Amino acid sequence: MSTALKVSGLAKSYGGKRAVDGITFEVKSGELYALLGPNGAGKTTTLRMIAGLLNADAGQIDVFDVDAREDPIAAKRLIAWLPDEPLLYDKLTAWEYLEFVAGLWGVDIAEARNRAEHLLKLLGLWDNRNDRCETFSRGMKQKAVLAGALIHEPKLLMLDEPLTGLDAAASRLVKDLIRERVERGAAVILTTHILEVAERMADRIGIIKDGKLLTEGRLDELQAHAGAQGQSLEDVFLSLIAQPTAIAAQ
Amino acid sequence: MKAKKTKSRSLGGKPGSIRWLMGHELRLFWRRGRISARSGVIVVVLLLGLWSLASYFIFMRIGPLIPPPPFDDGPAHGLVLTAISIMVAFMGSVMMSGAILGSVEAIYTRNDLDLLLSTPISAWRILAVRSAAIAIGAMPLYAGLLGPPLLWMALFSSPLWLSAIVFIVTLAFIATGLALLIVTALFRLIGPKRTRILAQIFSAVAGAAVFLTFQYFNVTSRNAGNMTPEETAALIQTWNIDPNIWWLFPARAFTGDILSILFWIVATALIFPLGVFVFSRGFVSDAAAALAMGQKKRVADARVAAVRGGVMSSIIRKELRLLTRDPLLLSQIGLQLLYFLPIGFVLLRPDGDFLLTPAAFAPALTLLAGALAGSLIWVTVSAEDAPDLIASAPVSMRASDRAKLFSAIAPVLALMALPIIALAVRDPRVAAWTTGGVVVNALSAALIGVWRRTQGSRKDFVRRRQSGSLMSSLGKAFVGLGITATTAAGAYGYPWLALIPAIIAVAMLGALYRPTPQFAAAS
Repeated sequence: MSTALKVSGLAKSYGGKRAVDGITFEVKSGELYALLGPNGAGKTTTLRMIAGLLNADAGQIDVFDVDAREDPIAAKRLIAWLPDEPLLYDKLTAWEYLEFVAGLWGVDIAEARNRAEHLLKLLGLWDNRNDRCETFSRGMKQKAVLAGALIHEPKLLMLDEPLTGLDAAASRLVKDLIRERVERGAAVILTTHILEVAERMADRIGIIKDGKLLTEGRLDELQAHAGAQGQSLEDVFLSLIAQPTAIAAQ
Repeated sequence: MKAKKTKSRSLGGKPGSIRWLMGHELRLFWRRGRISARSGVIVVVLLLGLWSLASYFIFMRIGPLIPPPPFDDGPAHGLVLTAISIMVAFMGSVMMSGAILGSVEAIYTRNDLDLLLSTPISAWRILAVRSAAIAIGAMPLYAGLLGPPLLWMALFSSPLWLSAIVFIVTLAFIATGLALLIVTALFRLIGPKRTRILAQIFSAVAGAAVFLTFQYFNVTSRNAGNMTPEETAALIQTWNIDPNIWWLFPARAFTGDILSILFWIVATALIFPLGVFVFSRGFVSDAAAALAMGQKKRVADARVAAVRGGVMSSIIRKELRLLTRDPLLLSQIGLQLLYFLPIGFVLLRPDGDFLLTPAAFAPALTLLAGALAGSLIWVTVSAEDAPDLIASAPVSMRASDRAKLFSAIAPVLALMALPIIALAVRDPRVAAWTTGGVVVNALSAALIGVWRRTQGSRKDFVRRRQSGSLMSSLGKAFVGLGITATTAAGAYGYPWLALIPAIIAVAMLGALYRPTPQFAAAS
């Protein structure tokens, strides 16, 4: 498996506060990496830096060997970013939104239409394709944004709380869609507060606190690190974040 | 079942190109209103057609009488160009005011810029298009108002008037370029937090400055409107403005002086791209700083933790806190106060020879109280951030509305107390009428806001100064005018005459009444 994302020594401060403090990790193609942490741990800031929405103070970001800080445009071609709050245009229809997003990534118009139709049908929004997004429920908006993130077939998909606001059926659908992308070779980074989702879906998990990566690995490796063999990810997670940062990171 | 057809219009241009991005911006701009695109086209075409027709008949007669440009000969032409300069300065200041708000909003709210900037399109191109959209957004009002008359003037007076249309377009771009430079400079100099507040104030002042200056001279100048043609001619000679003086060059460009308009176009071609370049270079870091602003931990206010009083005081406290903690909202509401400043200029007349008696303050303060209360009630009732929370609380909607009504009216009455006390010193009778007018108008505006509530957000108010539905706005305006007329008649000593507008206002208020809806599980 090739390395899809390589982050090393990534740092970002706001005022005097270190929001991200020298984070280093890698994600391979065909791998689902769950980035977990308490609120304010630095997960979203890390993802925003990788997506090119924030300038990092220090560190290196390589997306499929493209230096994202040197050549952000080339890196962005490979990435899709799904924020926790759906970025939609209330006054556009779902179809227009997808057409627009496809245009931003330079997807061929005919191809974009095919993909838009496929995604809208898959996500159950086909009948609403001519409705303006302002009429959508939170779950429908989330699905429309997900369709937008997938329309240019990204090689690296970054999903910040993708299941927020979705009902059980939609949540299952999205999880299947993510898994399918991973099986097709895409790399996925996912943040979530629903630890069961990370436990069931993720190939590897990184736990972040106070801007530092405490630990990462497969679930059994995390259990070993926390000295909590056989326990759930929730127990492991709570046990790790309860420790002072320096001790947990060892 | 017959499958629905997919509806979509092409944006034009290659995806990702400037033309394509501009098509996207304009589509969003067009759909910003509440009416459908088709109705919008009909309304715009109808209004423009009517205005074109009306202005045709006006300029068909007066066009041949208007001296054709260029105006480059003698003090009379100097005066004409000065008058045009004042108009140009007014347009420019209003355009710049809007552009400052637009660029500050781009940094702080970002909205779709996160999506756009996460794409492989260069930030420069995205922000250039967004900036151009801000500039284009500033044009329709002036292009619509001045376009038809200028076309007829070109037909009936001189084709050189056509350069005024080019001038208005380029003025919007220059104003936007300057606005981008100002916002970037403010960010560098005073940081994100203060920039947001200062830019709001700067924008308000820039928008009102020329209007207020003009009003100051208008109100304080002696013998205005009473001069004979000879006196006017003598005044022109006294001022002796050289039409070729350097600061009249924008007015010369407006009136078709070829060299000046060329120079003006070159200035636009330099200032707008410079503004976009400087703004886009710092955008990502500025946006990051603005983001960090919201993440700073605040020291907990000990008062917040203490739960005091009943439901009523809790809601009032919450509303007043939200109002005082939102400087953007306050500056927008405060902007309304600026436009009443000309009344203050009367008091500043150096010779103390008041054209207006104290009674003139009664309708002005009454109108202002209604406008302020109308804005505040919309913010507290319609722009409630958590309506579900209030609805799920064990409190009736009537009680909640009463608290919100108080929150909207109390600050207005506190603000009005000082001028009313000043009036009472000079004329207690006028002060009594004014007090009545202020209280009744504030209360009626607030009640209309409660009865005709529409769900919205505080962002809407800050962005578009939106404060309610059309029905609510019209209702507030007409009832406010009725109460203001009542107050004016009473203050000027015609109490019986005051009855007529009072009866009309009460009747309109009654027509606007709508019973308070109840929460699903109100106690």
